[in-house]
Amino acid sequence: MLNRIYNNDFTNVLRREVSRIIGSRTTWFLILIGPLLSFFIVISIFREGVPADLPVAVVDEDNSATSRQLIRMIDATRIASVSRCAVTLEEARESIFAGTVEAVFYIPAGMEAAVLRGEKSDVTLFVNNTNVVKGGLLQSGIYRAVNTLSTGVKMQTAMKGGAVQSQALEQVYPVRLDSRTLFNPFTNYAYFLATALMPLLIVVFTLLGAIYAIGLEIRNDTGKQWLNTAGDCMVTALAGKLVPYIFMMLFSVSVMNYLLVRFMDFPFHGYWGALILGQILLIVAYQMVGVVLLSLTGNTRLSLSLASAYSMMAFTFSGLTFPVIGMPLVARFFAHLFPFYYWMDLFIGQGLKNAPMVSSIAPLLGLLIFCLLGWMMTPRLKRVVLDDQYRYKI
Amino acid sequence: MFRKIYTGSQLVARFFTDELKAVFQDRGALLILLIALVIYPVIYGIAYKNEVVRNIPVVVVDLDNTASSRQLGRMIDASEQLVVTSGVGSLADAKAQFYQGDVSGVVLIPNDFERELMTSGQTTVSVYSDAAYFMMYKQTLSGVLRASATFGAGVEIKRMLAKGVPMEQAMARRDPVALQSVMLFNPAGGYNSFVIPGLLIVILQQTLLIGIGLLGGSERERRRRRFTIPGTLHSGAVMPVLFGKAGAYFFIYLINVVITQVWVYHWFALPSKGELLPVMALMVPFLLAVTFMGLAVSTFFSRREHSIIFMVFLSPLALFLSGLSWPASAIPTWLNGLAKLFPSTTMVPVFLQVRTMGAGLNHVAGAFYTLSLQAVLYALLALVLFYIAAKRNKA
Repeated sequence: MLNRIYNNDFTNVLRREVSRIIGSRTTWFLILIGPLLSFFIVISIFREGVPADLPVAVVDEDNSATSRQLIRMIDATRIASVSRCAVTLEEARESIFAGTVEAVFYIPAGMEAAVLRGEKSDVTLFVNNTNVVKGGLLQSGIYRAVNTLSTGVKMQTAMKGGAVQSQALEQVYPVRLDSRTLFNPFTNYAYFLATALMPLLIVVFTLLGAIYAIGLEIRNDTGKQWLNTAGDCMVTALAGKLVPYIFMMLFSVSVMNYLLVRFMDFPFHGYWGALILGQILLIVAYQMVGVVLLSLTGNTRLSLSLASAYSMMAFTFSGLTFPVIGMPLVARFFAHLFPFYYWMDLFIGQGLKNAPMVSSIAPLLGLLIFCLLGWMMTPRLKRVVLDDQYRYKI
Repeated sequence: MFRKIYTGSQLVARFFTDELKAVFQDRGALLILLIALVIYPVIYGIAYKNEVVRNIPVVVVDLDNTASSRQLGRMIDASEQLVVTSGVGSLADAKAQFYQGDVSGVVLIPNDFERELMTSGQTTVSVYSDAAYFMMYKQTLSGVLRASATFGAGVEIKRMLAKGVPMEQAMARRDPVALQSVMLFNPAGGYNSFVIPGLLIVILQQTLLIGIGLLGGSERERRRRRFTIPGTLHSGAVMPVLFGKAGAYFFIYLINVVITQVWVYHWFALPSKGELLPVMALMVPFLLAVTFMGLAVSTFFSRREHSIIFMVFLSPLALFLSGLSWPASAIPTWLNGLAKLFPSTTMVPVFLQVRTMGAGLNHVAGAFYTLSLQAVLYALLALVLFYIAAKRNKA
């Protein structure tokens, strides 16, 4: 009885695979070193959080107490740091081209005089919007600084007219906007990128690992031996082969979860069971994508090339950088062809929004379909493994 | 001497054509070195083709239901970013719609909205925006912000007019120091124009590195005596091999430069202020640096699959380390220094300066020299590694 548990086709394949893994440095890279190394780099890139103190040049033609106060206020913002003062607009333009400043703030002559006369005066901000993230942050940060000054002037005018301070404040801000940020209290771009980048790397290593593990059998002509160990059953052979990889990738996933929660203070709200189920399905789904690619091409290297493109593209279509609903129809359709899309949907629904469980059923089913797709391909994979034409020729 | 140079250049030509043939006979390599350069930009370009997200559906909860509150609702609907899909009577209904995914934001107008405005008090409009998707959050907030600011400005001016302040003065008093923002080089803040130019550079680099490694690994596997040279030259003279191979990849990538820099730019109307000359002046040392780096790295791959396995995961990292979407100033110094090993880290920012912003070569001279130096150093490194590999092969 005990013998049957320890000595069946499945455990035989499993044992065979474990000894193959132990002897292969490349496989160790794919299942452990690569994921951990890339997590370390991702965490290091995004550790600082929000970009701060971007260099801004100031052209102050007014050179008055008010203009100097405005410059100090801009310098005091978190996002901007005044790096150059009292240059001409022409010089400032050159430093934008040379990449030494990100924006130029221009105060025309007569600004203070106009303010004192009760007239309107304009100050101008030229932002290098090549990088829309940096440009947007600079624009809104400096806008707030100028607005603070402007409001101060307004309140003084109102108070001169006899209003008390609280009245003055109500007068200058008739409609106040109360912004409630849902689900991501940090509104920090780093969290968006890191939370998608780490699972993307998991996906890359899972897919390449599965193709490498199976492909090596095909090209090195060990496929028949592999199938024999599994009692000539392709499904058993695949299960025994891929189970060690599933466990190793789940280890990396646990490290990722730990880093997200403990290290990046990521707010997890929803039901963790659904997330873990999703992570298991995500790994199996990508392994099965590997099975599909190998079955269709019968060529390990071509499968790896296709797989690397396929796994990278998933990032774009996860909707995290640019929302999928903002894409053209064909791209929106395309997004559904990546298991990663369903994972992000599930992750944001459960992890961030604490959405009702019902809304997580569809993405989980989406992942499941990819798993079944691989299972349906097993007869074809068996033909590829047994057919000599796919053997590696020198 | 003269004879030696002659045979040397003949050999370079032979290795050049050999390598080109090898590329075109290998489906996997061809896919990475040539076809990927067309497919990647097209797919990314289509995904981001709309540039900005417009008409995000929001729901307005109007508890006031007066002429003023309805006007604010209309102004939100009229904003470029948002479209009001429905009005509901309670926050609970709005919440339900939100979780069903029908709307991406909720605007709440309180029930004493108009009365507060009439009695020159202050009123608060709440906006609930979905920050799980960054772009949606930004657009929702800025849409509502702009609508309510415009609405508020109208209220302020009406109040001042009521007090007998003349129109012109009222306008001036409303915002005594106004900020005019000029968003240079990408005025609409388009996502395609932001991401694709730098992405093209990283794609050029990564496909070239992986492609070279793929063929290098294959050769090593075939156990061809790749680094030794037939008798005419003394053994170990690996120069012709290196330059022949480098020439072949450089040639293929000149085609890719035309595809990515002319065709893709035209197709997606990417911002191009620069002249082609400074762009090419940067592109030549960049491609040479990447080619020699690829050839140096390829000596470590003993199997043809290895280049994909060990290098694909670096692609998204190289992208973020280049400072394209994440400012390099926020990356720790040691990592930024390490990232300089990739030519893309130097290339991406200066390429954007030249191509998107229209800076001249004089503005990016430093980077030009850095890339050239990188090309020379990687060539020397490749030469040494080829030499070591040739010796090992002989032994």
